Order: sequence, then structure tokens, then C-alpha cells
Amino acid sequence: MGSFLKKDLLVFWRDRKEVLLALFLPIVIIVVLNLAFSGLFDNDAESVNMNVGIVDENEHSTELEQFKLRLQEMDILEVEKEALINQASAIKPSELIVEFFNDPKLKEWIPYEKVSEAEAIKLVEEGDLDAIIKIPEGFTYDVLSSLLLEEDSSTPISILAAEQSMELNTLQNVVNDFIDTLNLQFALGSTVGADLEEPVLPQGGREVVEGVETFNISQYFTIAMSTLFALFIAQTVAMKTVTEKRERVFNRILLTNSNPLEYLMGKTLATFFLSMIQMLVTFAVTQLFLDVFPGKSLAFWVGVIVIIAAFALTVSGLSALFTSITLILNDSNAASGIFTMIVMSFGVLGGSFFPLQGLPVVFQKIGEWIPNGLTQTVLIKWIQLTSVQDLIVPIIILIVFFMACLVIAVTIFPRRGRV
Amino acid sequence: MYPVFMAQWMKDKRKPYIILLFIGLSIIATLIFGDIDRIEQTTAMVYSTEPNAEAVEEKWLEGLNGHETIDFIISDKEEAHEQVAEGAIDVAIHLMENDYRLITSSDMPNIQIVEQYVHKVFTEEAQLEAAAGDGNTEKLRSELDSYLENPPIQVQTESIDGGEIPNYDMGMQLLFGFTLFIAMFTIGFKVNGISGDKVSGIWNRLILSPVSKTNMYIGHLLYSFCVGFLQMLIVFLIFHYVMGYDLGNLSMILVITAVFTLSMVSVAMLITGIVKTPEQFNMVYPSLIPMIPVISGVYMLPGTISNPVLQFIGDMFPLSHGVEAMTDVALFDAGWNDIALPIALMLLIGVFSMGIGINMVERRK
Repeated sequence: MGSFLKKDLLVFWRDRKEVLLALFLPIVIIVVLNLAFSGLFDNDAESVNMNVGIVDENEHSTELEQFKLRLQEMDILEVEKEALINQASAIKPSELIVEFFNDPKLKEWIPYEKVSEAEAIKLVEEGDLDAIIKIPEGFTYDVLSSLLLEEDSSTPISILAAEQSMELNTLQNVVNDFIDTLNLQFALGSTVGADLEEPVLPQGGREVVEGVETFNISQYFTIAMSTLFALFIAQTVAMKTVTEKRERVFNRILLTNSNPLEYLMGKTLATFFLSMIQMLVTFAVTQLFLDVFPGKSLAFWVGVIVIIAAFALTVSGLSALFTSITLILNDSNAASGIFTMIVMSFGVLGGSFFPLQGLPVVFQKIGEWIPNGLTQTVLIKWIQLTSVQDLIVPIIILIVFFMACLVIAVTIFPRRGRV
Repeated sequence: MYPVFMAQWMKDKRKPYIILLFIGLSIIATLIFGDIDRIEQTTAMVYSTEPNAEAVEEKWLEGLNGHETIDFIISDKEEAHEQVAEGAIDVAIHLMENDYRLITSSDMPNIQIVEQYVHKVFTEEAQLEAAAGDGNTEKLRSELDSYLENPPIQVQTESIDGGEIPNYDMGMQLLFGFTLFIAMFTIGFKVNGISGDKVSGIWNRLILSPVSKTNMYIGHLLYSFCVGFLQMLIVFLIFHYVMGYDLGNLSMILVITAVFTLSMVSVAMLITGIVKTPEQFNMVYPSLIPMIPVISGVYMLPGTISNPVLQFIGDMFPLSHGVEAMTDVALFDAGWNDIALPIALMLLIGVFSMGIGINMVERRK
């Protein structure tokens, strides 16, 4: 069997291009996903780079004068007028908004420039600006009359953009949240008056369940992608069989009077080594460059290696099954198609493409029993709890899966003279 | 050309099950994943350990309910903690009279969304209570609500040329994305027939026949084109007429489909040129293809991938242009002028990869 293993490893070595692709593609993808998702959901996101133009057509002083004039003409007491004018002078709605965007923290990820409307629209069309915030003419006047005279407001601030996008979404959220807060303040001011108690704000915060370490999305990507690509290895190995079948390598092996099952075992073992190396490299490189698992103990890494080994065993079982199927099927394209479908459905159901929490419970249950899904769950649990008891049952299941695949593979393996 | 095309057709006709199975499963997969309700629901369990737990839970649940994608369920401490530790749910919320704590075991993005929302609800409530002082919060709340129905400052979103910005329908992007993505497999496996013919010696025999080289390629590629196009045609027709999706101008969608298929046949040809045997193709192709939608950003909202290098790589494949053109047609009623650029780019990719691909195939001994 040693010579068969050597043969298969040599076959891989001769095909360095494909092997390198298999080794580096998962790493590239993990980096891509990390870049795409990093900080997307944090407020101090670096990856959100949004350029906003503020068009301020509001002229505070003239509109304030206008408002005062209107008050003068109104039929109310002089004292009230005085009070209203005082209040009105204290409120500068457009300034509040510009001030909000001047906040250094916000400015870091939403830089803005002040531009005229025509210029801004040109910039948006050219793609230099993502959105425009327009404070229209008459805004101060309108807000003041709404606030102080309880009239309906009719001059809204506009967010202008060419099309819906991630950036626009974020901007809308930020602006809406801010305006909601402002309005609430105004509302409280008008209904309760000035004698506001200082509210006891909730502290909030997160707590982690006792004895549990958190896991994050980069870790999810690393685990999901390395298990997915290990599955592709099983398919790769089976495709090597097609070449060997076409070039009559298999028949020649039969003629040497060696047991054909040794051929199968050689393949299985080679797959085990290759997928093991692949996953170890993926974990090592992502750990070194992205620091995906910060500050983990040696025991943690030993556990990871054990799980990876168990999963590599399952993948090798799968490759044995694939090899047998390739040998009994006549059409190599058909075999490839079937394997692609199997691998892709494993990928989807095992949660390698997206987390399964969003899918119906039935899918989640199936996913827990599919080798890559199981491995993923176990690894996540291992990150969180690092408890050895949790490893035993899943590893046994993975080994059983391997045995079952191997038994089926040996059973359907073509007997002499049938290939 | 015609005989080569017919030869491919006869091959499939004699053994129709594999190709039918493949197309059938592709269509089913597209229908399942293109149709899935993508708004992911997050479930959060809420509990309280205060003496008057029930009252606290009820009070906050009333305020919390009403978020589109978060479900809040009342539970008790043990169960909530267990579920979180198991990973069955992402987050639980420990409610107090005036405060809350999120209980988690992970750092997934959806927790951030829950946190923001819960924080907002609690802050508003705190302000409300402070404002009401000893008074009645219920009354104050209704007063505030009626005030806020017409707030002093309002915000609206508009398109720069006036009118509304059509809401971006992520489901539509996924529908098109999946359809094109899965068709890429079918197309690839059919184009691989050229390599198959080469290793089996059929190609050499054809060279000796009166059929010209060009016609040999065209026959093969045209057949791959037809199979890929047929698959997508069926999917779109089902989506449009059976499942009632509004795909916009169907004839435009089909033209884009055709251009995409053409372009993708070329890309498959390029990969055929890079690898040596049909088996190598079958190794490289299926592990390369699933990555294209990821890099092209098909699974995410436009603008999510902002790294220029990644964008460039994504733009080198026809998928991003195809999906862009299709969503433009379906969502924004784009005209021919609007989709001219993506179509031109797809054709350009097609011409380039076909040229390089055939060259590489021909130069090999």
C-alpha cells in the first residue's frame, strides 16, 4: 500500500498548480470576506467610506427676521411676543445639523463638504459623492413656526442620492436617529416644559454567558471556508481517478496482481494527508496574518488539530466513495457533475456559505448531521467552551461517517474484470 | 458546424438522464435559493430576575415588539442562558426595571443590530419617565406620540433627479445572482466537452474531416450556449409566469441572459485553455466558480465591497455585470442605453477570454 500512497502523493506533486490553488484559494477567500465584512457593522467602521455633500440653502438670519416680523404682526400679547422671540433666537436648527456632522468621531467616517446644489448633483453623478444632505430654503422659518406656533412642518431636510446603496442606508440610519432624538427633545420640551429631570439612562452593555468565550464572524469564515475547501479535495482526488482510468493506470495496476483495494486505500490516505495539510495551512496562515483566534492556549490548538484530523478522515472516506463511484460510472462528466452537486449541497446545508440560523429548523437539523456542518458546530463550541466532553461524541460521529463511506466504497468497488 | 452541434446533441440525447438531472437540479436549487425569504429573523429571548419579573417583562416587551427582523420571546434565565451557550439563539436580554444587559456567546453582526435597537427603546423610555416625573407615563406617551406625528424636523430621501429612489430589492439581486451562478456550472461542464473530445481522440478525427477548425469550435460552443441559455430561460419563465415575480421587461432580461451566456462560455473556454485535461477542469472549475459571486458581491448589498483590488477582480468576470444589468432592468426600469455598458463589458470579457482561451488550447501539443 505504501507504493500506492507514494504514487498518489507524487501525482499531487506533479500537479502543483492545482494543489497550490486548493491550498491558497480558501485563504484568499477568507481574506476577501474579512475585508468585505470588517467593521461593516461597527460604528467606527473604516470600510464604510462615504462622502457626503451638505447643501445649505437655509439663511438663518434672514429667516429669523422673517419669523420675527410675522410675530410682530400677530395678535398676541407683547410679553408673549418677547418670550417667543427670545426662544426663537436661541434655536438654530440648521446649525444643529451641521454641528452634528462636525463631530470629530462622525467626521472620521462620514467626511462632508459644503457645496452648492448644482455642483453637488454633478459630483454625485460622477460618483465622487455618495449622497447629498440638503437643508432647504425656509427651513429655519418652518421649524420655528412648527416649534413655537404649532403649525405643521412642511420643509423637510432631503437626503439626495442617485440610487439605493449600502452607504445611503447607513447615512439614512445615522440622520434619522439624530433627527428622532432632536424631535423627541422638542416634543418633551413642548409637552412637559422646561423643568426636565435628568433622565436615568440605561447602562446597557453586553455580558457573555459564564465560562464561554465569544466567537466572531472572521472565525466563522475561517472555519466555514476551510471545511468547504476540504470537501473540494475529495472531489479533486476522484477526478484524478478519472485520468487514471482513461490512461489505463488502473487496469495496469490490476495486471500487477496487487490487490485493487490497496489502490483505494492509497487514495484514501493521500486525501487524508492533503486535506489535513490544507486545513492546517489555512488555519495557520489566517492566524498569523489576520490573528483570527487571538490569545488562545496551546490546549485550544491541540483540540483544533484533533477536530481537523477527524474531519480530514471524513473527507478521505468521502473521497474513497467518490473514487469507487468514478470507477463504476462510465461518464466522467456525469461523475463530476454528481460530485459537484453533493459537495455544493453539503456546503449549503452544512452552513459553509452562510450561517444556518436564518433557515428553517429542518435545514438546521440536517446541517448538524452533515460532516462539514458538524465540524463547524464543534469548532465553534470548542472556541466558546473549550471543553473536552463536547468533542467526544462529534468525533465519534465523524469517524463513523468515515467508516460507513469506506465500507460502501469497498462494497461497490468494481471486482476484477469489470472495469 | 452543424454536424458538430448535432453530434453534441446526439450524445446528450442518447444518454439524457445526466444532463436532465443536472439541469433539473440546477433549476430546483435556483428556485429554492432564489426564492427564499432572505430577511433573516433574529430571535432574542428576554427574561427578568426582578421580584416583579412578569410586570417588567410585559412592560418592556410592549416597547420592544415591532421590529421587523427581531423577535422577542419571554423566557426564564436558565433557559435563555442555556440556549445562548448552545448557540441555538444568538442573544438573550436580561431586563431590569430601567436597564438591560445583552447576554451573548458570540460576536456576530446581528447582535449589533439588536443592541442598537434595544438601546434606543430603553433610552427613549428613560427620557420619557424623567419627563413625566411622578406623573402618568401613559398619558405623556400618547401626548408625545401625537406630537411626533408631525415633528418639527422631518427627513425625506429623494433621487437627485426628483422623485423617489426605488427601494433596492436585495431578493431580486439574489434571484438573478443565483440563476446566473448555477448556470455557470452547466455551461462549464458543457464547454469541457472540447477537452473531452481531445483526450478521446475525436477531435483529431474531426480535424481530418472537411469540417473547419472554426466550425468545430463554433459547433461545440454554440451547443454549450444553447444548453446554458435554455436552463436560465426555463428558470426565468418559471419565476415570471408561475411564481409571479416581476422581472421587468422580460425580453431585455433574456437579451442580457444571452450576452451573459456568451461571455461565460468564453470564460469557461479560457479555463479549458489553462488546464490540461478535462479532469483538471473538473477539479479547478467547481472550486473557482463558487468564489466569483462572493468577490463580485452578489450576496451583499451593492457598495459592500469597496476595496478597489477586489472590485477589479470581481469586474473581470461577467457575473457582476450580468446581475447589475438585470437588477437595473427589473428594479429601475432601465432602458437599452442604461444597460449598454454592462453588456459591452460582458462582450469584451467574452472576446478577450475566448481569444486567449482558444489560443492556449491550440498552442498545446
